[in-house]
Amino acid sequence: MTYTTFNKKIFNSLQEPMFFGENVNVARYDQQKHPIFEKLIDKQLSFFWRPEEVDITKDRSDYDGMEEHEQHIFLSNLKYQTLLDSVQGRSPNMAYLPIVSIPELETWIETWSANETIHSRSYTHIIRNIFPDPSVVFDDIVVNEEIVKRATTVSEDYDRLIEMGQWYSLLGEGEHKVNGKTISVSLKELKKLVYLSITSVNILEGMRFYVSFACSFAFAERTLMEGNAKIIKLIARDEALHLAGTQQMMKIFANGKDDYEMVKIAEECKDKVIEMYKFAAKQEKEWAEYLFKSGSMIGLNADILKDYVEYITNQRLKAINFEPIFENKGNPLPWMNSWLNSDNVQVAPQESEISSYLVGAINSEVSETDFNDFEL
Amino acid sequence: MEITTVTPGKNDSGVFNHDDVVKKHKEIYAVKRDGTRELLNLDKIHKVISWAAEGLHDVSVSEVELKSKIQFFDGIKTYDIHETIIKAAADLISEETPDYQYLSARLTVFHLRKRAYGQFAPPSLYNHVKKLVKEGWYDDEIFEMYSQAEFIELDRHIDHVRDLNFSYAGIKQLEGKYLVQDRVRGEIFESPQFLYMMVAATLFGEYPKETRLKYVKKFYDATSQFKISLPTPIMSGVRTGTRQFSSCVLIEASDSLDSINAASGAVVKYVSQRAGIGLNAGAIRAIGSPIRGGEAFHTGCIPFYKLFQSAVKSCSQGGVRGGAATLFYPLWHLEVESLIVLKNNRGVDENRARHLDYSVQLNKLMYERLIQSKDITLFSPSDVPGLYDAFFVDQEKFKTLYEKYEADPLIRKKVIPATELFTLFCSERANTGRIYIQNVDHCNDHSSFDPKVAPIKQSNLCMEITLPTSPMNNLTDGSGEVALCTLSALNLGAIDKLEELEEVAELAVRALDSLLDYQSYPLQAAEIGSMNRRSLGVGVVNYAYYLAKNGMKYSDGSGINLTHQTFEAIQYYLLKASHKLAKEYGPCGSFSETKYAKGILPIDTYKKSIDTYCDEPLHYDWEKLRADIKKDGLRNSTLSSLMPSETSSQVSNSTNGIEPPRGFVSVKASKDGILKQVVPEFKKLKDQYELNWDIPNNDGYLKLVGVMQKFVDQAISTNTNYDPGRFKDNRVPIKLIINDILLAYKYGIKTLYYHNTRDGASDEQMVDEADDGCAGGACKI
Repeated sequence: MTYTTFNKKIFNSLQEPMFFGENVNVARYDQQKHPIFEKLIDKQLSFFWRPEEVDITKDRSDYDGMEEHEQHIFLSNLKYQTLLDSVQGRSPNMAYLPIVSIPELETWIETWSANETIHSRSYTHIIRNIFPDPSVVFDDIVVNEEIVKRATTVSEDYDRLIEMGQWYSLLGEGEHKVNGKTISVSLKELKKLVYLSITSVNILEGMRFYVSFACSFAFAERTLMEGNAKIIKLIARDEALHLAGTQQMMKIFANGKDDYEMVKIAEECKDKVIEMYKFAAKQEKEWAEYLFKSGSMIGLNADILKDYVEYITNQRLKAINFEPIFENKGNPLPWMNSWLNSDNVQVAPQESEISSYLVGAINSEVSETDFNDFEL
Repeated sequence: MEITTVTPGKNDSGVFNHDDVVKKHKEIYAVKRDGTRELLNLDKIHKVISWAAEGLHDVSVSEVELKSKIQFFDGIKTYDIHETIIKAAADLISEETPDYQYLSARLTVFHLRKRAYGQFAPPSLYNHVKKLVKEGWYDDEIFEMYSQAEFIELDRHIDHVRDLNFSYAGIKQLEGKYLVQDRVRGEIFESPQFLYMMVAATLFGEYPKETRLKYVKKFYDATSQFKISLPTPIMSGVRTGTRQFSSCVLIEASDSLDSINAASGAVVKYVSQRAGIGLNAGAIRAIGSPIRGGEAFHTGCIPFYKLFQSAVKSCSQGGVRGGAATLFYPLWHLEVESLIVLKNNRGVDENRARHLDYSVQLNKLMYERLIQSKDITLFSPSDVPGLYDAFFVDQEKFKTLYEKYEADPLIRKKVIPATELFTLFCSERANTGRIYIQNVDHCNDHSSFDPKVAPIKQSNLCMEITLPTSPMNNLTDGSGEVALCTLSALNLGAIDKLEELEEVAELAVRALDSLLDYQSYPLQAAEIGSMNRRSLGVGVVNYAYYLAKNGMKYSDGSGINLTHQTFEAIQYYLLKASHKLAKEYGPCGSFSETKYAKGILPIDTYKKSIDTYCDEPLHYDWEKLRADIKKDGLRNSTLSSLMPSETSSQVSNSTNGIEPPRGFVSVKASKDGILKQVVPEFKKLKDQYELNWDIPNNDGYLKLVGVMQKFVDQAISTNTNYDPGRFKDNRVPIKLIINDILLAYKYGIKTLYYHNTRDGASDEQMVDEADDGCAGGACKI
């Protein structure tokens, strides 16, 4: 219960559940209960990049040349993404690290969060390039009503879990009186909070982000703000991984191989999950209205973006084995695929940064005598 | 030929039904250029799209309308309506429905002619030129070159219907980069056929009156029918006041401050003129070297590389192309360990210069050290007299000096096992994708030039140009040499018989050669070299289609003989054309500095290991050509080089250079946004094409490049590709990467360009439910 940074008990970590088992002791990756997280870590590390690699100098003049309502669209999105990544840069660590029980998941969470901080740094990089005084943008994030509204939804599930997790760590299960207040801590309730917060992350990374991505890429489809789009493309590549992480967790919860109680919780939460998706979709649609309140842009307007919200919501639900909740329509933004799948992207040599390289995807085993037979 | 039409309201994806369309449409007003509002007229739109769909397969007018309608909003500009429809049609391009690339292209042509002329029918050539000269968009010299009667004759030859042969990716490139336009106001002034005719007319303007119209027409036909691809600077600049068209510039710095300053000044000059830069900085001494006999410590290479980086990034080329450069240094440079990592993501800004590309220079001795498991000794070029020059000029002498300095205990050096250095280098090449290789001995042994008098010390940005350079001491210094290369490419897909190459090769050589006299040179050091050497680089596009069309593959050796025949023909005809020009205008001034002058041809100096896997004999009369060249000389020091040609191959809807396509529908990212392009004759040849990631290893491709290099007198942008998914633990063995580099050397390949890694990033929108790795997972690992 009380968190320890090095658990001295002897146990087999391969038999631990993902959460609420023993605190992790040895950080070892030679064996894994869920190899998927090890693969995610590997992939994420190989994706390492920094925003400074991307040349965004042209974006500044692009931005200055845009109409006011387009600037509003661009900027609002950037603010929203800054918020989302501010949350994601710290929350998984705060919420899940104290309760995680297997080393590969622990490291995945850490790797994942660290990567989100790169995303936050990217926004600073982009904003610093466009505005002489970046504070104008950053300061608005906490006062802008439309953003704050969603910040609440995004963070409340985390906050509940963190709070009860802390009581659990200090006091254990049961009814406790603290400062005259009755606090009841139940493991089952905690697990439920874990399940719901993972769902909320899944929504954040799989839906909310994509609404923003759509706008960034729509600008770049018109050859505007392409430096920004290149960065967002790298971010999207990472987010696809993070999304896979939470989707995997939800599937593992539901299949019973990890913690049997979670199966029941997953079952009980079914309606709640759907409700969460519905609510998020509603919020994102309101956001779409807000974005396009004073004008549209070619290729994107509030209606199309709302269609996209429905489409992506269905996609994400299907991925965690839920039924779609909206009428099944085709992808209203087919061009998004060209930005999200890098297999088919060819880059003109001098013209763009290559966004598809991997760091560390090589096996550097070589011995001095390997090439002795080679004839030049 | 039939048009598939789908009844409105019945669209497969169910995005929209007819009632909605009508209801929404009623509220939509469009705003014209002059600000007046008018109700959106669906019939007009319908007519245009139907016109564009004529004769195409599997395209639906209704689908295009429906797809674009949902993007309309009240108050939309008519300009935006056109663009929206075009975009909607372009979004429909897919493997199943490739013809949308023509439909969207025709709509684009329709729109841009309306923008240029206010109507679909183009004006007469004479009136068009008159107007554009008057407005200052065309060079007024053109108007003095040709008479009205000649313009009328040329106008009669123009076939505006050829505008409709463009694919979407092609016409968008034209629209974005090539057509004369006011980028600030977003106005366009010409349509494609005028562009092609005016480029031809300008290039052959100085030809004798009796013959020039013949060449203008022939060259117009060759370019407008995509038989010859021209690079961006020529397409966008010739006929306007711009007079700098060389795509590639090679600049060398020596070890002195003056020359480093002069080199970075030259970089700024040429970057501002849209050229890509190759920059040799290999002679700069290493950190800690004594200056003025020890009065000060040298700061080493990195601060100067950063200076060059700033120079390269100082001009954005007016948004046409971002400045870019590849910087060259030898593998045995004392600082090599810190130079190799300059591009990677570790480290901080102070010890990185990430916005340059790099090329490491090697020779046989370096590879020998590797295969003999020996060490490589690193030196500062300033500490080892004669070694740096010998590296390019004389391999025997280099070896003798290198071993002598290795044995000299007084010389500052660092010893590192060759395997370790190669591993470090290869992993950086793999991790950044953009650290290249130049085999300097191949570049000199098998080049046009006599290394004793005109050594090749570097390549260019894209690693296909190998020309002699020498450092300048200041920007007005005429004793240094900045090398320029003027490029174009022959479209292998437009060739049925090899004999047809003779005419296009001659046209390409004639046109590029005239360009050398027509263009102006911002630096004396560039002018002297260019006018004396008159180096050209004619390459190819559409090689992948050419292989597929002939039922051959990259990977299994089936294409080796055809490749041999083809590149033999190309080089033969190019040399023949240049010889013909030499007879007309005399050989180039520095002809004596070439091997050709001594009667030595590429077929004499190629790497003989090619013969171990290619038994194709020579088919042309090289001995006669040799004798002719010895007698009359050549107009050009070099004729061929194989460039990547990403952009220009899009215009002709060809596959890129000699590269295999990434997919049947490639998505091309460039400054013009994302463009979809379908490989030529996809429906017919889809089983014949070999896609990049289907090719199991690099060996087959490298062998083919070796065969090409046998004939090509400059170099070839050669890429290596790796799919981690093919290897244990999804990691590419470094052993394999090193082995491929050795193979490239063995096959006589002069340069290696990109190292591509398949990153496997995908979104589940593209991935099937039946996934491997993580069962049913959303992200394919």
